[in-house]
Amino acid sequence: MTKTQVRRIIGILILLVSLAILLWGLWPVASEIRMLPVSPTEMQLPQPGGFLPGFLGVI
Amino acid sequence: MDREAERLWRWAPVLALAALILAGLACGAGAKATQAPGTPPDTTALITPTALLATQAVAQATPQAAIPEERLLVLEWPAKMRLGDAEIIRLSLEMNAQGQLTPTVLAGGNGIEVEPVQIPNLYATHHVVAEARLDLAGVEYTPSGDVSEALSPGRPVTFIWSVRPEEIGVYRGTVWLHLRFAPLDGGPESRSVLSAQLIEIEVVNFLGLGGTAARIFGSVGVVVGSVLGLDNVLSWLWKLVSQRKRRHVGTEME
Repeated sequence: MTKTQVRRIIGILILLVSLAILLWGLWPVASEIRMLPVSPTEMQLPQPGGFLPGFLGVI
Repeated sequence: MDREAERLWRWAPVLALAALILAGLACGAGAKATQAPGTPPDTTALITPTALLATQAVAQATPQAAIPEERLLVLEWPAKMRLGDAEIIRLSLEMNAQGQLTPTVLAGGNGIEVEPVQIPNLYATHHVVAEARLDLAGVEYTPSGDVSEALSPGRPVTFIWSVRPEEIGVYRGTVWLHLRFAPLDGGPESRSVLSAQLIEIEVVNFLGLGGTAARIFGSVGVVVGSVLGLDNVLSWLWKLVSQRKRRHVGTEME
């Protein structure tokens, strides 16, 4: 194997690994989206005594 | 006398039923008679006692003040991130497709009357402020703490955080959204949690490289690898281009 052949093999290896690294670095990241409907009843004023348990009969 | 009384008692349920049917027919006929042809139906004439009871019940149970809008809470975050890269987490409280609500109630068992329910509008009595906060331990993010934005009728609010992890791993956090109600007359403020959503972000690297390092090393490596491994390809391309140039110049000279 001549010096030129060794150089070319090493060069192609570097090229392949670098391409893989570059692709990984440029690949868009996966994002997640969560959607929740919000009804008007969830956007009310907090009720006084809302932290008290129901069995006390305060609410 | 006793026998006659017994007979009467036997027929009493039948008579009562007949009386009810007659009364019902009479009511229906009366209602139809009052409605002139070609005129829109008078809904007040069709209100049955049950409908009246239902409307009274609705009127007595005064609805609590609320924001009369259907909204959609949208949370977007990166499920996977490269080490050292900055990504964004976006939380928005958008208007739903239905938009403004007109709450209605069906009064009566016959489904005759549909009338709007007057839910007290919170916008008219309060300053409504949406407050959001991101809790994500182990990751650098901005802005930290509470971020607030006024909630106006029909307008969406959006909160954006920039996240930059410095170590690989799985990070779990919470995105909080509160609503703060400040009365216009200067009363005490109140606050309620609208949403607390858990998120999970996985931070990864590749051969020990983060995002920025991978892009730099990858670009340099592609150039070096091309020069070393594809030198004959490069020289062949160079020859091809120079030959075409020579031909082009030759045809122009002729």
